[in-house]
Amino acid sequence: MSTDELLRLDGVKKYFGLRGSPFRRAVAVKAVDGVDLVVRRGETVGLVGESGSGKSTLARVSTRLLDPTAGRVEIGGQDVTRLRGRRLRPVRRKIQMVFQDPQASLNPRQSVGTILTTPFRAQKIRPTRAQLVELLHQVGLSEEHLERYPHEFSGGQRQRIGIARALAVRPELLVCDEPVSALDVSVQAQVLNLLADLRDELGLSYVLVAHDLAVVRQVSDRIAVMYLGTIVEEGPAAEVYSSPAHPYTRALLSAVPVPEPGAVRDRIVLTGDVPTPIDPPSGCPFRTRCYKAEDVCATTRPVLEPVAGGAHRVACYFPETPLERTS
Amino acid sequence: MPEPVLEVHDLHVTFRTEGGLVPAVAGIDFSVAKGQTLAIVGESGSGKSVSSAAVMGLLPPNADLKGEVLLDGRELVGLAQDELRKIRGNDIALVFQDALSALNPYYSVGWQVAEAYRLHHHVSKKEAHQRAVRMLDLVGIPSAEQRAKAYPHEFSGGMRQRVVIAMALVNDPKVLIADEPTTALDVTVQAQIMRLLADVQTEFGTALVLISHDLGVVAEVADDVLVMYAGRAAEVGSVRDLFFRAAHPYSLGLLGAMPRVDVPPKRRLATIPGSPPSPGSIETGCAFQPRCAYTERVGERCITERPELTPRPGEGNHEAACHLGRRPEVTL
Repeated sequence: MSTDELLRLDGVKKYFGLRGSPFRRAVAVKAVDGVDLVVRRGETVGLVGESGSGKSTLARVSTRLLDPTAGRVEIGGQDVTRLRGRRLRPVRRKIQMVFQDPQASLNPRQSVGTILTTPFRAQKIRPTRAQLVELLHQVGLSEEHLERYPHEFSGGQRQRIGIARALAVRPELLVCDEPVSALDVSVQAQVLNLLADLRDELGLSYVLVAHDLAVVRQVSDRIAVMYLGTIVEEGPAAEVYSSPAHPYTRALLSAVPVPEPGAVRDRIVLTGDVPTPIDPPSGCPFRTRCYKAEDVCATTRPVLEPVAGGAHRVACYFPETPLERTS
Repeated sequence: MPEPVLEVHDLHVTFRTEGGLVPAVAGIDFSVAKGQTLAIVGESGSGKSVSSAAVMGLLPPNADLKGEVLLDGRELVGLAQDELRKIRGNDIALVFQDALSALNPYYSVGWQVAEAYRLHHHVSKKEAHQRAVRMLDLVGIPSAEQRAKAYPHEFSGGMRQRVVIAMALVNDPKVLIADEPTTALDVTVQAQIMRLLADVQTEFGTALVLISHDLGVVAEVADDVLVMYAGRAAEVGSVRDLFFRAAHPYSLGLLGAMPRVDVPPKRRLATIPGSPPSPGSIETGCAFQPRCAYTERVGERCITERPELTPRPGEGNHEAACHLGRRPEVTL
């Protein structure tokens, strides 16, 4: 087992139970339904997918904010699947989370200083003022901000505070769930650049969960595409974006509008909606919307297999051919 | 140049608040012709949504509206509420970002679309219902006859937005204002909705005012673009003027700040320092000046004198409000 692996997920499942009532039988929402994923040191893995794909749930299971229903979570080579409470604390020093909405994830009644002290206190550390100021500097804020309260900041600044809080315990891996989707375009770029700078300065690794495929491309080394709780394609960012192998990835990428008038896009418009994760389709989860689906797709779920022998893998019986992929 | 259906001249919207007067929109002009699409682009606080509410006569009571809003040459500002009600939903319709809050959870979607029709047409309930089903079918709701009986919560986000669009189009409006119509939707669903809006325009010649922060969507569907900053127009022009010949440092900044999905990423995104100002916080000079990289080159004027829209090279009505006379070079 290499210590280069900061995070390893093996067959992770997360089901949410919906309790039954006299009017409804008990059902399970299969938010994450069997995911394998490895994040290595220094790497940024982008997790993309649409609403209901399970990407945020997977992020929360990875940071052990949620318990997996099945499967195994390893952080820094250590099996943490069943760790709880105090025994989870040393693990939390290695992996931290940045949330989407800095408005909702910062306590409005705490000053920035108090907010930044909290992660230290959870680790039974008393931080010095210099340490707090250092954190603020790392995210482009300054000492004068320590005594201020969240409402005195703009959205972008609040997200910087959220990042500073995550950096407090010097984690190796940051899991960022939609870190810029609540921000204006001009501010979004600042935060994306900040994430890139922190990676270079501190040697951080990221799992970046986002629905915006352009944002993910900007910062990711590797991409995992999720659909209905499973990873349908995974590989180096450049390869997945330039020649997607899964029909879903291809459709997804083709749907993103490009800021260039007259740009010719070979768009595949999918019909219908994502099926419910309570009762996902048999076999391939995407087959109900797929333009290539055949009978075999309904039988067993395809597993991730290498495309052209590389690090690029796809779970599909009829992956896009190289010709289709580059068109 | 085709005759404009909707013309807005020197629109001012000021909110009376406890903290004093807040000028959310401080003098903008725009127009849109039959079958054309005007995109209004801007960030939070730029006044883009307030402008659309003003056109619809949907401002809250503490807002003061000045200027002209002409629909087919008819002045809408100052019209009595019952006159406005005849126009709203009939000649001009609005599609909001959040379809769930635009629909009433207690009524079937078919009833709600029919209701919108009956408000403006003296028809029987049955005829209105048939019209509603036709509209639901037109916006791509499968088995519309059946689905008309369903309630909003029984639809997905994309399907709900289709219902809202059906409701907006049921009276065959001349102008459709869509305020971030796809922001809450997934990208594959966004593609469906944008295609639907384009089809509707081709078929009915509807003029579309699209309010959006997504430059990708704008590049794809707009004919003309108005870039708003702090309640004023920073730049106006054709979509190609804006994307290929942007003359305002803010427009250029926005373009540089946007990551692209179709080309390998740049090492760093261009950024605009700081964040958008709150309305009215910058009283003299150029509102963008505190964030602008070119202000040093121009000097004092940016701080003392507000730039007016002046013509720029382009396809026609390309104008920018910036003291920097020539085109700024792209900063990366």
